Amino acid sequence: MYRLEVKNITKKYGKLTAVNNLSFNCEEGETVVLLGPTGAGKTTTLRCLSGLETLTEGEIFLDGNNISLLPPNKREVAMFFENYALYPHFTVRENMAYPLKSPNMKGQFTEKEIAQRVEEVAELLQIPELLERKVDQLSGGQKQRTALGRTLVRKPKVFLLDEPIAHLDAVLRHRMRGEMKRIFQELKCTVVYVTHDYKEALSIGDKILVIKKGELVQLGNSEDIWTRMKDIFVAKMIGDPPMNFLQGILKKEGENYLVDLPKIKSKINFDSKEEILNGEKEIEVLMGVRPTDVSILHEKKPNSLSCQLSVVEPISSNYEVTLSLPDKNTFKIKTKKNYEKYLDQDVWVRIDPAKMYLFNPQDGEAIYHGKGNL
Amino acid sequence: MEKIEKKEQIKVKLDKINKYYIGKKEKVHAVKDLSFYCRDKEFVALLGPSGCGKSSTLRMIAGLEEVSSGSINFGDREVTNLHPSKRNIGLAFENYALYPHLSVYENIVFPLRVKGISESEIKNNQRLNELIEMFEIDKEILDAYPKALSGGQAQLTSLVRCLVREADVYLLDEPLSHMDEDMRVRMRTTLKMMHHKMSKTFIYVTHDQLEAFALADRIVIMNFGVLQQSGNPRDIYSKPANQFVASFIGEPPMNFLECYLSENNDDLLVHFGEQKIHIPEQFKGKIQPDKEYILGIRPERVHVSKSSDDFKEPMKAYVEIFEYLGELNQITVKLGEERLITEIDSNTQYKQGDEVYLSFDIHHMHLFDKDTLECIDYKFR
Amino acid sequence: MEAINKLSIGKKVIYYILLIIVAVYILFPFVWIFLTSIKMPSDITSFPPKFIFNATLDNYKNLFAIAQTGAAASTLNFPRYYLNSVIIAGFGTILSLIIGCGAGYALTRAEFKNEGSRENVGFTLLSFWFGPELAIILPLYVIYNRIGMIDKHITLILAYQLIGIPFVVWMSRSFFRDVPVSIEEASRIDGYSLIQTFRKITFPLVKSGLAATAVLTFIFQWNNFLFALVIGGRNTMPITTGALGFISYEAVLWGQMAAAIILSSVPQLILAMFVQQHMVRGLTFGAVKG
Repeated sequence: MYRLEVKNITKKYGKLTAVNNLSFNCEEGETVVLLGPTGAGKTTTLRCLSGLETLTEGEIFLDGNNISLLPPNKREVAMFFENYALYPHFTVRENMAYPLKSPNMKGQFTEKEIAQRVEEVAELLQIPELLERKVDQLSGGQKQRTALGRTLVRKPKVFLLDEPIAHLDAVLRHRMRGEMKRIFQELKCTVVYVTHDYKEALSIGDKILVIKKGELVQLGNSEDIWTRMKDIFVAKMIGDPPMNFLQGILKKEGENYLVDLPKIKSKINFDSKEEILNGEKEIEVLMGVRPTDVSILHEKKPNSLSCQLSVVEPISSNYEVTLSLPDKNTFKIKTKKNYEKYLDQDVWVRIDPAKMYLFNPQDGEAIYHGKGNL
Repeated sequence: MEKIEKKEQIKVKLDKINKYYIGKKEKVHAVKDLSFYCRDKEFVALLGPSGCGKSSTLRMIAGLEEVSSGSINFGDREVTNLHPSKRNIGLAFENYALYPHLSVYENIVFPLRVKGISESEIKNNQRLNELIEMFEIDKEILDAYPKALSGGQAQLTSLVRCLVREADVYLLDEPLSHMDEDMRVRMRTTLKMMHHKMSKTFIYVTHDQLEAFALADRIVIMNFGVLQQSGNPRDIYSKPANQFVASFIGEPPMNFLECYLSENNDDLLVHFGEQKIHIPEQFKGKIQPDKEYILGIRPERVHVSKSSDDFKEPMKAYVEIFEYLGELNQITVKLGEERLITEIDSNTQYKQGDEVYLSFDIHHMHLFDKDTLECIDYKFR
Repeated sequence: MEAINKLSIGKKVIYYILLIIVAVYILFPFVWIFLTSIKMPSDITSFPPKFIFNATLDNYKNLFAIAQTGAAASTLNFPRYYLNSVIIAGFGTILSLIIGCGAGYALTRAEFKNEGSRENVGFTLLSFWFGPELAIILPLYVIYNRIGMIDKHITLILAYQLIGIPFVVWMSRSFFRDVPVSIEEASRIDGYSLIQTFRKITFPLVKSGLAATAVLTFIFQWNNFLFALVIGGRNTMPITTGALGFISYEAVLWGQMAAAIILSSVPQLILAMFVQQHMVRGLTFGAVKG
């Protein structure tokens, strides 16, 4: 039996459909990530799960019970708000103790037990010294941990987290990403986690749902999302820097396939046992190539694109090289070598067909995943 | 301070600049004895956490703030007390300050109109057209008014307006800060391309080390009003002058371990927790045994393996957090009581609790004095 | 004050002189009334005005004496008037608060067709406060008279709602608006019902603002003259109209009038001082990241 079952939920605001026929299951102890850009309907989905919004259609089951019509205070879920929503007139301790003193919990805990529980969670989040502070005396990172603590004290059935680390500074965000994963694993929490950052999704999610305009685009684990994208929408979200896309035409040349990139006057040859063309003679494709899957050459070789080296940007231990293509588009590469002295020079970029992705420009569907990515 | 180059090459020079602010209770020494220079055509980034004095410094270079003491020179012109309008600078500030009654296009060409350039010349202005094209400002935005723009678009307008004029030095204060991540990364690359095309001196203030690192020919890092280090990005990354610089630059950040050293004949060892490993000879004579130090090592310089045979001096550790990030994997390991972050390629997977062996790339390791936080190996790298 | 301290002596002197002039202008009437209230009748009407005299508390004592000389005295019942003011303004304020807060809260939290209609409803409610009392006073009198409600306390209490409710709605609305919806939502999820959330989270945050609003409402209702004059009767006269009784055909009892005014101002002064403390505090305390 699943911990959480979301069955075909739809949420409409008048004519606007924010969530459309979304379904997923979450096992006990599992972390499900809803990944998508802003406005995709992720927060709305979370609010439907919490009861702050009513469903237009569909049902939600928790431990086998239908909670679709229950108000928020009866659902046994805890929610982390993107803006933290800390109670401004309470101290950190009072904020964290508040859920344990709710009318639902009356009589369940003694004052002493509540204090103990609060201190336990504060230790876990490394904020025990902040317990008596007022909320307006906290830094951003401390507020975030207080809000997180408030969700953890209760031991609810499901944790709902809305972009919990999005507003922290880069260093803190990095650290909290790993910390949160560790805490969820240690406490065996059942989590539904909303984010727009693909790294968070890949790192924290056992199961990832990629959502676009309220609809499910792909459901899979980290590897599925990274190597077996179903749709170009997913491919555009992942990668740092994101994937490069080129317009081309896929044809067959004898036994092999050929991707003709007319705008930049290049061709990529590859062979594959798959039937990609589906009976057509040639089809339009969008070729996707990761910045890390290409190499720079100083002379023309097969399966390479000719371009000009425009910008070199050092990024920590790597370099991001931006190349200008003949059709005025740019192509980004991530490499460990410093190409600064080749600025403004003509170079070639070699594409490895085994690491190439092809997408249908009409509906965005992925039609080829490179070798070994089946 | 680095060696001073030939005079004609120096575009901007700051000499012992100090800035005091009168606060409620006491005087705040916001900028302390700051001296640095920018070469012609160089892209210099003033980097540091908020409150470090970088914005104050930029404002003094612009002439918007009075200098408490010290001098500023543009080339061989002293500009310390010169009015901003006489310094021939371009300014782009974080709070855009667009003219609300003018369209985006009118805002952008305003500096040209002010100079009296004719309409036809403006239309054919190469820089203007290049800017519009490269920064991808489409006609819809050009006709819009500031009220209708998003924060990022307004900032972009302000930036383009700054770059459209002919100036000796361009001063930019966090000009990309209001853009969302995708836009910011694209605009960053475009800005660097634009700088390359314009071949002018840029001074850029930011608190985002990634941005400074990607854009700058030279980074000037400040903290609490004091210059920490000045150099090109690569040097600052691999040869930090002190622990502040080492921790500020680089993502994921550098790992730090408390340690002490021992020197036994030819054996130079660093001890942390239960572990001890050898350190390069160059440290000989520069360290004091039994004094406390901090060892710094970047995540990519920590190597991980399932078997101890792969390394000369393997250290046993446990995987605490394993993060699959797609193109690489990041693991947090527990070495004794300490935690370290390291990056490994995407082919190897670990689970929480796995036993692994670590090895440090000792030639890319740093030692910091625990009291002064200075980097010991800075002097000989 | 720091800014003043930075100025030269000359400028300081000028600033202080200006401040004193303004202070005198504002405080003089009050001081004069107070002095009048402790003067003997002969001192009150003497010219030039006396600032040094023998003080007396007779005026205050006489307010509470039932037996007095002259026609004016027989109709004066100061304690009664005071009590009426307290009852009418007091209950009036409570009623205004209950209804006004409810409406104010609803205006911020309920779902409206669009934001425009939310503003429209809000402004419409506020506009009642702008309406001149004179415009409605006659119809109100006719209605109340028809149903025989003249000269009852409840009449004035209800009439005062026309002043009180719009004001409380407008003020409380801005306080409720400053309480982020997300913390109420967080409280709901933490296991509290709507009412419990209001009690534990929303109300404490608007407490001080509402206290200030209550005090101002009380002061407005206490000071009302026109409604009391037209709709009030002999038994329900508050001090504002009751004070008219000090002016009669025979004499004007300046001293007693002054004493009545001073006593009437006391509750308002106390409440105003109390309000000042709470007005200073901010509301959201930075609990929300933005």
